[in-house]
Amino acid sequence: MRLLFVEDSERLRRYVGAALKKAGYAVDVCGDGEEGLWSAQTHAYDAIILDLMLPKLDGLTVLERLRASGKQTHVLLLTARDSVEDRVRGLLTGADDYLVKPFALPELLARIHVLCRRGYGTKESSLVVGALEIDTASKTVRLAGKPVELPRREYALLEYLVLRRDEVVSRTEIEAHIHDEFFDATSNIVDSAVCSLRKKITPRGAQPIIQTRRGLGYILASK
Amino acid sequence: MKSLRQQLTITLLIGFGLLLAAGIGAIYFGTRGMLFREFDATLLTKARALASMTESDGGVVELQLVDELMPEFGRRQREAFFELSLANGSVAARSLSLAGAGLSHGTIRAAKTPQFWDQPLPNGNAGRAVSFIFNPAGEEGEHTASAHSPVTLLVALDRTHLDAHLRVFAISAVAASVLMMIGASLVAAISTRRAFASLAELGQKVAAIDETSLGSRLLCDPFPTELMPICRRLNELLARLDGAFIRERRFSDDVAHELRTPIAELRALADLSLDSELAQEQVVNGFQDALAISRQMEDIVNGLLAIARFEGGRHAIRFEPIALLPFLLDLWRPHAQRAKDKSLKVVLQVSPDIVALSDPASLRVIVPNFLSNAVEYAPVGSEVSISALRIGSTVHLTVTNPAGVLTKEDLSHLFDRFWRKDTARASSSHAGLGLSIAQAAAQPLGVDLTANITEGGLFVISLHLPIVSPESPPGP
Repeated sequence: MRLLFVEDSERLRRYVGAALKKAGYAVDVCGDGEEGLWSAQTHAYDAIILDLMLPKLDGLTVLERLRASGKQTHVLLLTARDSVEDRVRGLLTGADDYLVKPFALPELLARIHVLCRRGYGTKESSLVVGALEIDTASKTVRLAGKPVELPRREYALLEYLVLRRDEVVSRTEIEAHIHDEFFDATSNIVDSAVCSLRKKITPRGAQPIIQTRRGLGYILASK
Repeated sequence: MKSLRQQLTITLLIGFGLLLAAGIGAIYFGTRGMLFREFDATLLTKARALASMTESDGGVVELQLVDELMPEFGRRQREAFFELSLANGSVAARSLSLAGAGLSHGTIRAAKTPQFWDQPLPNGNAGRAVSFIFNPAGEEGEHTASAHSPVTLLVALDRTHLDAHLRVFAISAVAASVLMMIGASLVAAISTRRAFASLAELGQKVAAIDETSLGSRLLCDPFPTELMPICRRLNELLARLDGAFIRERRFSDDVAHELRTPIAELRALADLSLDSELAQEQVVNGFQDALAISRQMEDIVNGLLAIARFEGGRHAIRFEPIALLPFLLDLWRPHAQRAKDKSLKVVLQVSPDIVALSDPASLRVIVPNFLSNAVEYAPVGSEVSISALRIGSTVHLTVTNPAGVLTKEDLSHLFDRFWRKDTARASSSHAGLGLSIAQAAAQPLGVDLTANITEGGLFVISLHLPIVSPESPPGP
């Protein structure tokens, strides 16, 4: 899952960015509204965390322009403004959620988790594909009831493929959703991650659960 | 609770009642007196007629033709009575109406001038009597005092009819008064209700105003002239109250917002640290961040306390001569390195002989804000000017720097608490309180603090201080 965090407080960018990365998200951070809008329009994020009082371009304007451009990315407004009018205005402008500063990091993570889950039309944290079971809340994977340890990037890849199961997912889409802006697009990191993941989640003697569609990408078949 | 309407109505009715009673009383007693005078005149006329019919003949006094000429003294009618007494007190003649009974003089002493009094009559009715002493005429009509002894005539008339008329008049007057009082009560109630309707309406409109409707204003035109000033003043007070509420709300919002972001930073830092196994370096960095956040919050709180102290008059002001050049050089020292880092060209135009009269402690709060802002917001490589110019009996202490993004429209907000050009609060180390503190510190000194943007795009902020002339003694 890839997130954009637009916040003018450098410290909050660092702390929340670190917490989100630790939770398994690929995170891009921006310090002002103009850069935030550009990033939101340019990349495919699963959710955007947006402060309201931003330099150069305020958060509501960013949200308005984002929606006007047709982007339907889920947006959580994270702001010190706590009045009912502010919340209503934010939600009516196109925000999907609203969280007032100061906030508890676990609550922010839970809300982001829900927003990301909602993007793929599911309301459950537990995803089951054959013998494979993924808990997107605790970020854990079990194969035939046994836990499978996955590095952060491989877990993100698996979660994305499971959320889009039975669909062919291109390498570009995978890169866009599980890597942040510092990812080197020329590397074959996706291919190697798929290869490694395939070995870990395929039961012995069984057909690989992740299959390659040459020239198109990968598909995780549920049947 | 006292009601103005009730008070006014009662006062009006009491006043009207007293005036009515006095008027009716005056009319009654005036009429009564007039009727009594007329009655007395009739009585006296009858008495004089009787006196003229009295003759003395050889010591015998007698009344002639009374029964024929004045039948009211007769036995039948019994409305008029007389008694003629001689000087020795013996009765010479009595009217038949007395039927042999006597008439009492009471305490009245007979005299030649007629004496009137109220007389109970033998028939049991109230009467009016007159008495006087006269000399009866002789047989030939002579009236000489020496020829005939004086006699006393007492005549009394029944005044039952007069009293009855007066009673009817009094009852009519009282009845009319009661009716007039009832009428007056109605008129007073209606008039006061009408007169106070506007006041009641104004009261209702004012009572309907609460903290959520302070932006509304009373429509004064329909109110009477007397209430117009009250209505207008209420609107003025409402406007001031509304402004104060808006300022208070904005201030509370600003304070909450200013403190929320650093608190959010602290909380996120704590949450992150508790959920991670941190290396020694990360722990140190976290504590450094916590210290920086605490200092930022401390600056905000100290700034607000400073404003409260100056505005509350809790800062003791001590005026003393201040040699401006060394004073400004001392204040500039903390900003010199930052100015050097930004390659600012600093121009100091202060004559060494200028001595201002002010409170150094207040100036140490005001001037550093000017200098800090100039260094913070002046573009890299630009010029910052600090000058002190003697103009008349004042010195204009001015700090000038390029205005940058600041516009003339921003000047009206410049001294607002927490105001910054950029609405993003966390982007600057400045909390937006500096100039508010400077203004709060300048007000008790009674000095002008002005900010302007020149046509050339320079931001100029000035402080006008009284100057110490060589002959003037120190102190205000």
